[in-house]
Amino acid sequence: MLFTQPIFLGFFVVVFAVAWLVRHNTGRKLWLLAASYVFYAGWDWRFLSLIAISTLVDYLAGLAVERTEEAGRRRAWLILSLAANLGILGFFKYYNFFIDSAAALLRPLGLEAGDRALEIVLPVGISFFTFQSLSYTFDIYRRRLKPIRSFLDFALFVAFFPQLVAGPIVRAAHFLPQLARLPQRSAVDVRGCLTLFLLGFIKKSCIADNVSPIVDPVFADPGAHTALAVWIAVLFYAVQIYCDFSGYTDMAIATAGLLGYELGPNFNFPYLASSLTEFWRRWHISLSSWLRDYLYIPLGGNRGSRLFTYRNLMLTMLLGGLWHGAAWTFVVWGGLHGAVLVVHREWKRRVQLPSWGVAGRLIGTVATFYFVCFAWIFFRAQSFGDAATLVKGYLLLQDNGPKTLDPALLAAFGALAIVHALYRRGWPQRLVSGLPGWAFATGYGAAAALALSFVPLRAAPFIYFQF
Amino acid sequence: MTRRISYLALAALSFLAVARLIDRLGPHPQDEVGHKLRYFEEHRDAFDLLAVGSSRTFAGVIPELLDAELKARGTPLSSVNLAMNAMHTHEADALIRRVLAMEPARLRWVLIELDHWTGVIHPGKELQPRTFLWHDSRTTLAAMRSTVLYYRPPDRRAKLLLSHLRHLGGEVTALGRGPQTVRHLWHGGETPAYPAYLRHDRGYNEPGWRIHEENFALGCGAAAGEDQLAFYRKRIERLNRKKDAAADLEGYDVRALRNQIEALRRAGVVPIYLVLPRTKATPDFLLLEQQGILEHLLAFNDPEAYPALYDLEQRHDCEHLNRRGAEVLSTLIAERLAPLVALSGSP
Repeated sequence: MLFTQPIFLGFFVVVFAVAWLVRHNTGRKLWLLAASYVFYAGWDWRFLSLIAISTLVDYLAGLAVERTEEAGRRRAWLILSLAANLGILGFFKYYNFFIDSAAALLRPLGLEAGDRALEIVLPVGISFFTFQSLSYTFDIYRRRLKPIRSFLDFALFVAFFPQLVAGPIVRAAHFLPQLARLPQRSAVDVRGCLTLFLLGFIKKSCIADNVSPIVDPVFADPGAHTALAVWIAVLFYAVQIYCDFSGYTDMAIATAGLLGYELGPNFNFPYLASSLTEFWRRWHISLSSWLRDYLYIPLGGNRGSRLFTYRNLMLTMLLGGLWHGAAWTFVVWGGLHGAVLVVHREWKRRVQLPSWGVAGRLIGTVATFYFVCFAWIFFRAQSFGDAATLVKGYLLLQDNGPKTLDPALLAAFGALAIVHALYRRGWPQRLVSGLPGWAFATGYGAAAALALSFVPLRAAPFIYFQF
Repeated sequence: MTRRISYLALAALSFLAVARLIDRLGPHPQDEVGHKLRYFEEHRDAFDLLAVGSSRTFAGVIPELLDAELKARGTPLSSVNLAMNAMHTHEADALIRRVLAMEPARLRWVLIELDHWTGVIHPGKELQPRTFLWHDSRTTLAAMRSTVLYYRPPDRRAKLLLSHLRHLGGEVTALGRGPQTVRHLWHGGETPAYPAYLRHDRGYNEPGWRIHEENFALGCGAAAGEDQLAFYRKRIERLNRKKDAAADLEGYDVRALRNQIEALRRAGVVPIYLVLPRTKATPDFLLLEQQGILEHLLAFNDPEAYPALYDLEQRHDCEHLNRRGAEVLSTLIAERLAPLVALSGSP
């Protein structure tokens, strides 16, 4: 069940209606938990067991860590939680990757590994709910959080359907206190949530899905396309992945908001970042902050020498790349970002340039965007061979083939960039909040109809569902 | 609460108004059925007869030849072929109703390929604009009724019913019609050129000569590698055995058929039902004529009566004629049609 499918509308109307009719907090949470399990079962009911395992292990581990002061025992319970969550993730997502990589390493040595690959179905959202659940145990271990006694609350924290399959990765410290009290209807910004949902829908279904047919043929056969076509396709992939993922997040945040819960932002106009460091504070915020708090800082963060810090940064970005997908192209993508982050840090340390004001910021934004698009090539390419061909085209080093794309498409890209910048200034939000109720209702209905008319009949799958 | 309900109602009304406006301002869908509808709309007062049905009709009825043969028999008519690949009964019915809504001044005869009403949606056409197009509220309800009562296998009925509702939703909301409406308005209402079969052949599509015998009978279920011609000949033998078998109308949606006939008669149009030279016996169709449910039936799925239509030289495959076969069929249709036209005093 996707947020963009009609069946979700029916599902949500029922969940919403009952959630607000039940004026008893425990009953409400039971209802939301049941709805969340039904939502996930719609993908594959068998994988509910994985959510259940992760929930049970971390709930018990959290209580056990809190109960003991002995460092060894505390660490043992944390390791159990790590093993359970990363074990589930490692098996379902990375088993074949590790087997194939090991076989590729052994082959030059004349050793054959044999066919040990398994046909493993990747459970939807596994990268998200395992990380989310794991962060709970980590926070208790680091004494930043007290464990929750209510199993119901914890189970709902892990499985809450708006953010279950593609984030944002929610922190227990942020979400669990919200479950402690019954949400008030008057506190819900209905208009804001509805607008956010529609915007997310437009980003995903109208923009990302219409861009996909432009991008896919070029990435499928880069050797047949001119450098201009590659350049346009890479730009549009940047649009596609942003609109696809942030669109889904917007719908998730809006859905949770309508139920009275706040999930926190996940994107903050990342393509307006003037440096790569700033980009990672704006892109997939919940993941980058998770990696910072549970990987970079435990590795040592910047508490050692420069080289030590850079090592931690690279490791974090390499593993962050691997989180996105079980393929070396994702690792390279992460490594590229890590390398540029290291270079940026070293550059800032060594070179003291005067501020160039707006011009400097503009140059930084364009350069950052250019690099991010370059790195997206490795994120999206089917293989390193394809990536190499695309890189040559993107850097305008080589015209590969006869197929080209209409340069007029760049006008659409320009229009999207302008809308993006205007939205950053908040004018659509101010317009919406200032309207009388009848005008908002009329405009919303009209906008929804317009949006639906731009949904292609053949929708592309959510990109981040494969993670 | 009242205010919230009124806001909901306002939102719903404005939603529907904008959806209808997009539909009204936009062109016909830029696909196979849309092209034919547009062509007919532009020439609506030029035709006395139209043929509607699946690929069998698309490839089987040559309007130019049909007209020439009818003229030679003293009953000149002008005909057009609006049949299309994978057009099942409900889609054909919706197409006929759209045509009648255009109030074509000369239209008096409709050749309709007779088949079962099961509400089926062709798997390859699920996401095409033409499938959303035929899901207006009336046709969707009729298709859902046929699905509940006549679709086989029964365990897939629920899925098909949901599909009908989804398509109805898509049609009502003008799903996906935005870009072509914008393009249509941007270009001042200009529409793309017609495909060749409309520019030259008034809707008839020549399927091409049978390529080679190995794939000849694959269209009717022979496995690759099987002796295709032997399979085809077995089908013919079975057809000869079963064509006169006892039949009943329990599996046939007679109500849907009657509704179609009534709609045509109200518009002053005579329906003539056609059974193309397929390799399936249809004794229940003959029963429809015998019981007076339909008045005119031209059934050509009889190898003994029409051996030329089953001769390999006239076939594209198990289900379709090639051009030579279409010439034979069109001539036969003209032979059977001319007395009816003469009797009616039309055109």
